[in-house]
Amino acid sequence: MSEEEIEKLLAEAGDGQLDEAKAAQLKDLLGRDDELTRRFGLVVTLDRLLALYFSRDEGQKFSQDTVQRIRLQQEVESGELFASAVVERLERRKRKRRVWFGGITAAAAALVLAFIGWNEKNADEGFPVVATIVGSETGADIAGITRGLVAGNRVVFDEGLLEVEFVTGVTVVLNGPIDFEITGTNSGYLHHGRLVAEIGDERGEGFTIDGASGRLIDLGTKFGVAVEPSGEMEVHVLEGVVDAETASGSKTRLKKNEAMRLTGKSSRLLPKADKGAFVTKLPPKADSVQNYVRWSFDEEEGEICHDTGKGLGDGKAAARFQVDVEGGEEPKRIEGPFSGAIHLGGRAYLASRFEGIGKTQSRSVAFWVRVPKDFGANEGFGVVSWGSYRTTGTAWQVAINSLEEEGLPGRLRIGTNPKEVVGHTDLRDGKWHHCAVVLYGDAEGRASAGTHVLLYVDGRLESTARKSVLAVNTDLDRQLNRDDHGAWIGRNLAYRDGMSPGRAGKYFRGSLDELVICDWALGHDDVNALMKLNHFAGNDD
Amino acid sequence: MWQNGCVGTNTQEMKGSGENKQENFPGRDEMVVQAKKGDLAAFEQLVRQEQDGIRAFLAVRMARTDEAEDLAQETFIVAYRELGQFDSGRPLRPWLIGIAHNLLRNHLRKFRPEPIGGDEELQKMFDGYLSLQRGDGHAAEVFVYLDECLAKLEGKAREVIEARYLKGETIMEMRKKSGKGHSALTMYLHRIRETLGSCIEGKMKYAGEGN
Repeated sequence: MSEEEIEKLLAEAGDGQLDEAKAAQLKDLLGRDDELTRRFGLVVTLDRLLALYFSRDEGQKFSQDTVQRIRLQQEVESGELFASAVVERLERRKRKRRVWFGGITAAAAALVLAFIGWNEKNADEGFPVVATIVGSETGADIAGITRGLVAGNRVVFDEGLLEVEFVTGVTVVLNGPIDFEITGTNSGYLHHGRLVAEIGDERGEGFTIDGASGRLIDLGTKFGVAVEPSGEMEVHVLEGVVDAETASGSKTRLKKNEAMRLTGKSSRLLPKADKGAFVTKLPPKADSVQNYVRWSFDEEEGEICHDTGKGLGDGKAAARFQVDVEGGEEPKRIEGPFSGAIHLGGRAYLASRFEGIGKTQSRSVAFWVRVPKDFGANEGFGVVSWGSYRTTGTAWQVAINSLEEEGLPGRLRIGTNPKEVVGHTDLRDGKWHHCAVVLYGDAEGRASAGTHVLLYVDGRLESTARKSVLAVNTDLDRQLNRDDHGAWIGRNLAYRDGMSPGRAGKYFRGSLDELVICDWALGHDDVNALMKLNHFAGNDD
Repeated sequence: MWQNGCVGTNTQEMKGSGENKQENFPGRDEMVVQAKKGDLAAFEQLVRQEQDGIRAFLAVRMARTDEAEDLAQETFIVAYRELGQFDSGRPLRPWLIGIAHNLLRNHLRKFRPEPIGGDEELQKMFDGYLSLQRGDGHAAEVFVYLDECLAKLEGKAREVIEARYLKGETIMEMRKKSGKGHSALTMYLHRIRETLGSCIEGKMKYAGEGN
């Protein structure tokens, strides 16, 4: 072939004009000539970068549109755009070479993150529904929306939990941030995020989850899957058997309590399945308000803070001001988000004879907190606590984390000694934040055994590395009969008079308001109602 | 037309902004801290700083610019979502490219785009060429120098390049306007691209030698 003919082939390759015959000719030449391969690579690269260079928007449009998409996505998740999102049609894939979004309307269309398929199918157009949304803890109201999902629909959200049931009886609990695509009656593609799949009956056998690094086939079981932004994938078998296949085709059968990491070309077994890394079910819905203790701190004066709850305090839950044995300033009454509040200066706390909620029982704690900007490393333990600190799993202490090896400081934390779950929102800004900690269920699905922990800050579910604390067995007997105290507000449960308090310090420093302890798992609605209205969402007769 | 001395005549010019490709830009750490707290204005600043690198990385790997741009935006959306996991002590670009790489892999697996010339092997040869270049930041570096080299393109060459890439005209449309033949126009575009390529390679070589 002449030099001129070679140049012509390169020219056509560089302009995207090669037909199959010419592509075959060029391929043959490239296989024999490294320099020609370099030139070919460069002209194709330049063709594509020139297209980008001249099609990109000037100035800040790309970044503005990106942030706009994030904002709208947040609105979708907060419920404001959720219903409209369901009926929106996604049009972005129709466009040919174009200059990016034309404005807010286009951005909104592209932002139809929840339940919209790339292929623009939806149940209203006659495509068969293959799965249904059956529960939400995303903060979005799903009551009035079409919940039917068709193959090609994609479920994307940043925070919270969503439960989807396939027509084959398989239930999938999606844990945000997540991008999950429904691909068929018995399959899905996890782009990134974390989910737990459980087969209901034989119809669901063979349920398949694909990801960038491999494929998982459920053979009648329950398993957790996580796909990281890098595309690497982990599977943890909670019950039964799963076949794991890497993208390169290598297969492994995994049994209960086994786990594997898939990286596309290879895989490796992990020491054991990590049950604490997955949420296997949504909190149960309570039909009505049950029993609770509430300290509103609304008394105008005095050292007693009364319990205004019902059914739980049994007349013993009034909390009394206490100061450190070595002296200190008493708690101060201040203004809070709802009337009076209490400020603890770091040398004082409140003690009650309310015993707390014991053993593995579901429970919730909700409160307003203001953490000072100059919050110190030994001033976070604890906001409220009960149980005993002497054996594993017997403590229950809600705190602001100050132990860096266990999570970022200044974040909401629940500890059971020695396990803990730590949130991600930094509370050290001197402002009021509403917090809630919810305990319910467990990986095996036993309602009586609470190990799942959800943390909420300002009404939004926190992203946490751990989803549960194993072996919760809050010990009330030892607390009452040997340690001789009830629930504490503002004191480290691990600190005993006359002894070293350890690195976490003796007392909490900050302000508290509307502290509520419930003997059931609060749902997202209740948490938000407490935050916005200072009462539960459910019936409180 | 093309100005003389495109390659290696002025030290200041040659060093260009391509040097800065993997370093943390001023104020980045504070922006990351603020963005992690949910400050979208700070995150937008990060996007502005990093967008060209990510867009270029994806654009060279995808035949369609609009799809590459979609994926670039998704890269930043995922990054915002996952920012809590980013180690602030490390450079941001490789982390972003890791996310872009994952999204790209998913995209290619799902949509199976047409390979170059409809030929899988030719596509693999191009992929092989990309993998031999200097790291994942190669495309970003080429993009920076493309800007500098294009700035020197004048006259007829500039008109032709803009007709093809800015106005999106086909060769057929360009033929009608110019009266030139298909082969002549294709070859003319090719020569312009090769000239740009030489300019860019010269600048990259010069920067790589530490001058």
